[in-house]
Amino acid sequence: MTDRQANERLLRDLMDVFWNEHRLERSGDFFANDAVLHSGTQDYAGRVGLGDDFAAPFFAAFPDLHHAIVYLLIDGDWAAMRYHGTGTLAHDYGGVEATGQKLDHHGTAIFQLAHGRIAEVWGHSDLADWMAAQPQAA
Amino acid sequence: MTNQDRNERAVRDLYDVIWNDQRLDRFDDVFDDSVVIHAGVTDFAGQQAITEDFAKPFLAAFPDLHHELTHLVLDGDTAATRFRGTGTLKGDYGGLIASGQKLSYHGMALLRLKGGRIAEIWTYSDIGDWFATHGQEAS
Repeated sequence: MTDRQANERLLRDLMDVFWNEHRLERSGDFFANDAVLHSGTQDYAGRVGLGDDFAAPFFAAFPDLHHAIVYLLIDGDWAAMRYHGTGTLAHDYGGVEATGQKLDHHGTAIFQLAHGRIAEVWGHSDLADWMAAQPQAA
Repeated sequence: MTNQDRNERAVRDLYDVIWNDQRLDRFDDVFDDSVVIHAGVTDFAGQQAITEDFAKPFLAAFPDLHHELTHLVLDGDTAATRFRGTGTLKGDYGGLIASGQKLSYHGMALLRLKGGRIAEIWTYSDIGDWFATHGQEAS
């Protein structure tokens, strides 16, 4: 496998395994120990930050959360994607009251890769627009 | 120039020439005729909509608007960027009354290229957070 193929495999598995099968315990296969996610204006550092603080509450709120890669770019040790996410809000999340709303959002992420894992991620999406359009929890 | 070089040139010119030098007259050098910009959940299709409805009001509000490319990823006829934008709010915009507020925000774009020019952009940023915390709303 070339480096390019290995990096593409890593990111497709990140989506299929980590995000779509919600396999938080596999985070070490994808993220460096000191990985940092910059999500909008929020930073999440390390596997605890990425898993417990970012991904776990998102999965809990949308138990059927599913993401599909629309575009995947590989450029040496850099990568980027545009993705489409769907799910059903089953539990209150980020101030939004859960009434079974259907999530439909898009986002973009840029990844810095090192030694076959993700070292740093920058992401922006329209999730906040979707959240703002939902009824707020009292 | 290779196709990749032409694509990189178009993406860099989007920030350096179109945005920073405010050379909207160079539109055809950078954009394909059929270009569509998806900015968050709003779409701008074609030169007229992009220059008149998107770029000019943004530049009028922030006359010193500057965008710095912090990341550039290139792969075939697609590209991705992360950028930082700064400027000074000199004209009421987006529901805010201008009082010289200093803008600083980050965003990202995914770009599709065709023949060395930009054919489609999907872009997201945290500028909405800045607007939400930087001033009174115009009545």
